[in-house]
Amino acid sequence: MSTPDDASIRDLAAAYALGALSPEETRAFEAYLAGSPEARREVAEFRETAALLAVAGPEMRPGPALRQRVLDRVRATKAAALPLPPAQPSPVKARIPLLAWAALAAAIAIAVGLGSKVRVLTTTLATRDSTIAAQRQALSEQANQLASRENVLASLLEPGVQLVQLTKQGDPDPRIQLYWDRIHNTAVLHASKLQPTPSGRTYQLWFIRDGKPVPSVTFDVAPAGEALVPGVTVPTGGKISAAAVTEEPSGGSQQPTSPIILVGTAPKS
Amino acid sequence: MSPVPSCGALDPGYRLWVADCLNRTALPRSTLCSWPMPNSGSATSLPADRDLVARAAIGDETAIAQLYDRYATVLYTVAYRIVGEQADADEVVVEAFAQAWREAGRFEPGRGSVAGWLTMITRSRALDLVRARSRRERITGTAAADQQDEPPAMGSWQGDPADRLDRTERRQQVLAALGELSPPQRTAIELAFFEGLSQSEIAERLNEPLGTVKTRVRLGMQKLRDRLRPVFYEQGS
Repeated sequence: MSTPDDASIRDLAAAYALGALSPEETRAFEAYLAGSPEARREVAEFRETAALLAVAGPEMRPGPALRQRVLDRVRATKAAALPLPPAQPSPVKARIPLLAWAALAAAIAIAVGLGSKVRVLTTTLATRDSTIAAQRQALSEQANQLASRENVLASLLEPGVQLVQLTKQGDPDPRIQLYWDRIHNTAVLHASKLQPTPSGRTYQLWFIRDGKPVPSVTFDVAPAGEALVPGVTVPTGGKISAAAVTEEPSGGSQQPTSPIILVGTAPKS
Repeated sequence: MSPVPSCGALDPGYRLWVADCLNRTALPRSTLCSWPMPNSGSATSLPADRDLVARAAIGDETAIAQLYDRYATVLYTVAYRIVGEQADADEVVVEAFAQAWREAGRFEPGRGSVAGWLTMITRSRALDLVRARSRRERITGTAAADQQDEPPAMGSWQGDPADRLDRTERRQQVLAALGELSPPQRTAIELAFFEGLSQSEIAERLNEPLGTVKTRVRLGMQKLRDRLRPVFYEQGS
């Protein structure tokens, strides 16, 4: 299926995971990687392989003091990241009368610079206002997302919800969980690690009712291979024995036109 | 990765399609049950590693302590192998955990296991240290050999016993897998991993054509991957 060019760039995956490519090869390979989930998976496997090389040497144990050093270092990093405590009243204050002339001179110098400072601050404030507005917008989007997640969660927690696991033969990665609410005949579909479909194609869910496939929702996955589809209607009027997923033309099909990719049996009612 | 098995022609009543569907429902389940889960017997269950990283990401330093208890030996081993002396290996491990702590929020589970991530961070810090040292030595003219000291005492720190069992078994598998490579394949891969050499640098060092080195790295790594998949730190990564 892959072109010869594809194959030759794919050959770089192992060396890439070892960090052994030249800078030009690295750039070319990373560009390729961005568009190929399969290559990313291959690199992940080679990286795991490379990581195992670490255990091949004679095993060395760190001295007992190292653990504390690591934790001290982590604590120090944490402290550095925290905001500074408010400044204590300074003992220097008591000496102000002695420094009054110097302070006055400094105040004059500051006042001269103040005009331009005010302009800079006004601009900064305006920028900050627009940032806050953007953050408010993001926050309300997140609130909406949260609300829809709450809904999904609520439907998962309904009494009578059963789980149908759809898997691909010989491949543990792609997986679909179908939370089937048998009282309301609805389901929530959660897909993980599915390869995104080519353009013009989509995934489609099928229920096998009395031995015949009944078309259900179509869905696409995010680049990471995830999809969450709430509110799937489960067909009634017969016995559902299984659910399956195929790849179909965009818009879906009335009958399956391609082989099954993932499949799982329904639990006995 | 595996092609979708053909399910036969689609007859008008979809009987074959459905029969295949129902037949196959039994298969994935057995495939799943027998899927190798090398760590399933150990007290350190797999998801916990990721949970620890998630906790570190929100500022829980005890998570780092637990990751240390789990992986310090492996990380110290690779650090020592690369830098060759105790004080530097200590420094590398401290730096590696500090980096893990800072970058925990950017850890991507899809890119592999926590143990692999920590290993690769440690390796990078160790290679950095060696490179910095060799730059210093070029300037001052000190030989690396003068810096060698005694290897650290064995057994001075003991991790979780279940974890140690895993580690011993994993190490044996890795050694066996490396033993199955041809010596030139093994050399090329070890030069890349432990010395941080690029393929061109390896070719130069060994005085071999670049193409030969590339093939050795690729075939050797493929063989290791196929052989070591069952002992990956996490499955399906």
